[in-house]
Amino acid sequence: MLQEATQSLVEGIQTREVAYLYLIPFLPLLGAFINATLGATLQRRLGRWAVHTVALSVVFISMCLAFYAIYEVATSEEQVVLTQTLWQWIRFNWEGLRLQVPFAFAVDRLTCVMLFVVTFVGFLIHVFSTGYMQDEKPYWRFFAWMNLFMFSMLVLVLGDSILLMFMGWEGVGLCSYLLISYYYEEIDKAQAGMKAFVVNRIGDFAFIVGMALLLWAMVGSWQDGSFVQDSDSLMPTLRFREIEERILNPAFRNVFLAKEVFGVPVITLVCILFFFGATGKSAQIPLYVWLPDAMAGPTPVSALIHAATMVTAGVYMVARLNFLYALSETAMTVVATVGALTALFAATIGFFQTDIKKVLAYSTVSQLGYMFVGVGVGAFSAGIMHLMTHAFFKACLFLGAGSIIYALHHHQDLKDMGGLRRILPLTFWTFLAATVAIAGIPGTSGFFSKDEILWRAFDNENTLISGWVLWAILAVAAMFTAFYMTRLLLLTFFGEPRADEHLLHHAGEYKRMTIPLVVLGALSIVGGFVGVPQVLGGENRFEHFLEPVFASGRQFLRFASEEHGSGLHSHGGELLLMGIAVSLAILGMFLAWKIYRVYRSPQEEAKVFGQRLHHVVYNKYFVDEFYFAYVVRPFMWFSRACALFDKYVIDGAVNLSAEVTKILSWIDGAIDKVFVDGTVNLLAQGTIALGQKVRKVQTGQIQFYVTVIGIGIICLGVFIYVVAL
Amino acid sequence: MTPVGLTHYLVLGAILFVFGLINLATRKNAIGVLLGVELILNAANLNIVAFSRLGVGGIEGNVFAVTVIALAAAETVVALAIVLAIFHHYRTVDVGKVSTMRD
Amino acid sequence: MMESAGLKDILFYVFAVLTVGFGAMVTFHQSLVHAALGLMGTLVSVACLYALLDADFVAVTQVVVYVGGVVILFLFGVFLTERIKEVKATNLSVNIYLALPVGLVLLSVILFAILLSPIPVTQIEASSPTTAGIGDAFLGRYLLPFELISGVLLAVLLGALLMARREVKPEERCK
Repeated sequence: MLQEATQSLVEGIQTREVAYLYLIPFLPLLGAFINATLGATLQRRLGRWAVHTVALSVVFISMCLAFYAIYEVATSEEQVVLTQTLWQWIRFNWEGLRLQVPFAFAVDRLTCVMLFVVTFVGFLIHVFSTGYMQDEKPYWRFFAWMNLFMFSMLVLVLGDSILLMFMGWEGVGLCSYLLISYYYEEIDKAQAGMKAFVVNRIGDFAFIVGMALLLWAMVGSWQDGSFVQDSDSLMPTLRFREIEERILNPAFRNVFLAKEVFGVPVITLVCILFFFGATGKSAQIPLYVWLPDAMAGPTPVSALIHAATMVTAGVYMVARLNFLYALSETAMTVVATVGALTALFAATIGFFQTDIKKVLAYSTVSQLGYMFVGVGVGAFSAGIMHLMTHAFFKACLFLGAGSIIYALHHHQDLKDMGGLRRILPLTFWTFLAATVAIAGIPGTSGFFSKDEILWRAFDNENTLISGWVLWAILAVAAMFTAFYMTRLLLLTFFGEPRADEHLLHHAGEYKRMTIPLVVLGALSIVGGFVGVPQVLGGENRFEHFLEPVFASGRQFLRFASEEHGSGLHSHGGELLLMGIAVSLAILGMFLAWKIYRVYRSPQEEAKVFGQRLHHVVYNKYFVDEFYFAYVVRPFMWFSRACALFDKYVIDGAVNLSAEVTKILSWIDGAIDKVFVDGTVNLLAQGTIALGQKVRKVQTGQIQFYVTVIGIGIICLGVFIYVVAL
Repeated sequence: MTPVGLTHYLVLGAILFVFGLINLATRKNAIGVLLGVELILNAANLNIVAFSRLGVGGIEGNVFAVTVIALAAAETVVALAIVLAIFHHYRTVDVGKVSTMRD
Repeated sequence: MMESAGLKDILFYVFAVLTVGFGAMVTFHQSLVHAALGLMGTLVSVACLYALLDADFVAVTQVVVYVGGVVILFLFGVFLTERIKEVKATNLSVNIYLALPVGLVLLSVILFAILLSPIPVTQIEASSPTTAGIGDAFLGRYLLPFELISGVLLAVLLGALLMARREVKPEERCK
């Protein structure tokens, strides 16, 4: 039944070529280019308005075009996918295998959602930044990198193939580094950027290996230590739609699922490797450590990149590859389990943090865990919906924090806050709306998306872990979320003001900052109504909208409520569980209100919760220290060893050969000096010595000459006698 | 014993000549050297006269001998004058000492 | 005559021995005065030999010129230069051990030549005074040499005078 439905859905999809898709990412690229090269000049000559006009206009036009594309996709009769191929990017031939990857964009319904989130929230944050960053000197640099980020993220979501998506993946990593290190003159901020990039890179490595494995698995398998091609006609591919088609073909699918490498099924390995890359990009265990440090960047950056868009790339990737993940129970279990544990773990850390942005950072990690649970159990649309609602309220929270920080002249610690309700009213109300949404109070967008995930997690029969366990973990995490967010709200806006008199006097709100806040706050409340579940009387239009995209994956997945719908896996059960979750959330808020009605410093907190517990959680379970001691230090030791090896062995060998050459040439010189020169000198000396000896004949003594004459006469006589006679 | 003939005189002349040569070669004193020269001259003279009387005949030999004697005397005068001049200049008559030309 | 010949021979040997002896004295005697006197003896002996050879004028000339003039001259010279002691430090003159062997070898060579050469035997004529003959020769055939001798003697005389004069200046110079 389900099979036939999905089959018809998938077959109904048509592709349509359009000509404007490339503008969506390339306009921000143009803006980035202009600001990067001319930005300083523009800022100096014309003023800051010139810089942000360039930046905002490109994003705005891009957003309009994205909306148009969404409109086109949403309102067309048939299921349609907009595509545009720009050029043939990779054409590679090797031993009969031909790989062709075109540089092409595609907009399907999933992409629509992502486009909406990225361009709309991105634009709002750009507007906010014009207010927040107005005092910064390298104003142009900020907007240049922000536009570049928009470009990379849009390439990521618009990409037609894994390779193009990965290009965007790396690009957002780069922009993240650039923007975190915006205040690079301070060494710890620069180091935060480096940490983000390096940790990301570890994930990227796994992603690349997975990508390569998938590529090869598309055309052959490994048997007895060598690669065997499946058939001569099947060519490797990395394009999403082509892979999806092949997977849908039972003949291909059966062969594909049987492939193994090192005894592990290829499908599982590929999915887990991709997910490991996602733990880096989307800050899950074990590679989440960069996200709290990333708060060193300007607050709009934290809002855009580390809340709404970049960190969601991992979730998008799993959703995009739903047809692969659905085939591997193991992989799905890994995704869901890691997501759930991360959700709980990060939520606990949020309890005792004293920096506003750090609390929100851990909250982001926790909520991302929810999303991964969603896509991990097979509820892809639920995960994506939470992605969207989270973008609304998390961006709202971060921008609200930004408003506070700007008003208090960049003080971020909770000990400096309190009683800001009256001084920053709009900020307070929007912050309250977003807090309520994140806590999952009924009626807010967060409630609908979070509840959907909770229900689906309980209901699923696709993971090796029982749905019960997942649901329980998430429910507890929900309570914790409500708790620490309420704590944050209370300590920031309520109570007696703890900040400096002078600071409070100058604090105020700015329109440029408050307008985006209001928009996002409103969306946090009402944005969820697109996804009201059936149990509450709605149609869940969101899920319907995304159905065709996930159909190919869904056909392999089973949910208990759809199978038999008995016991707890029914409407009644859903309502019951919903009630429990909401109760837990309200309980959490109540407890927080009780404890934090008055300000409590970390020492006082420790008294309430217990010294040891507080110490461990306050220090983030010492994970960073652990990593440093067991990963970073050995690696640095290794590189030092390599450097020494290079210095003494390799350079030593080179120096040795140099020395040998020197010795040989010295020998050569010595031979020349002793033998060759010696011979010449010997001749000269000999001649001189001989001359000096012979010179003695000329004594100058006449008497001697006379004697010699006598000798001469004798000789003459003898000669005459002997010869002549 | 053969009667004294030319050969005897020639032998005697030869002996005198060699004596004069030795004297010439070995004497340190300049005047001593001149003595040697005289001996040589006399030896030559003896030979000439002997040949003139016992060999060839004629008066030419005697004439030559007289010439030689006269010239020898003249030469001796000059030589001694030179020696005295040298003596006054170098304060020595050692033949070996008077040898600035060599070095 | 045989007896004259015999007497002549004996006289020859006597004078020959005298000559050689005095010659040896000239050559080998260390003292210069003895050498000069030895020279005188040699010259007298040779004059006697001349007389034996019937060269009367030559003999007389020898005695008059040589003995009476040259030897006296030598003696004067010896005395005039006797003041400075001969420095014995470096004897740069030829070593006796070189000169003597050379001399002996030379002697033997010459003797060899003399004894092995065929001497033409001629009739020994009767002796006659030679003075007239020499006089005739000098003023006849050998006039040129005679005149040259005179010239030489004159030159020598002047030269010696000049040199003797010059001795004044070197004296001052050497001081």
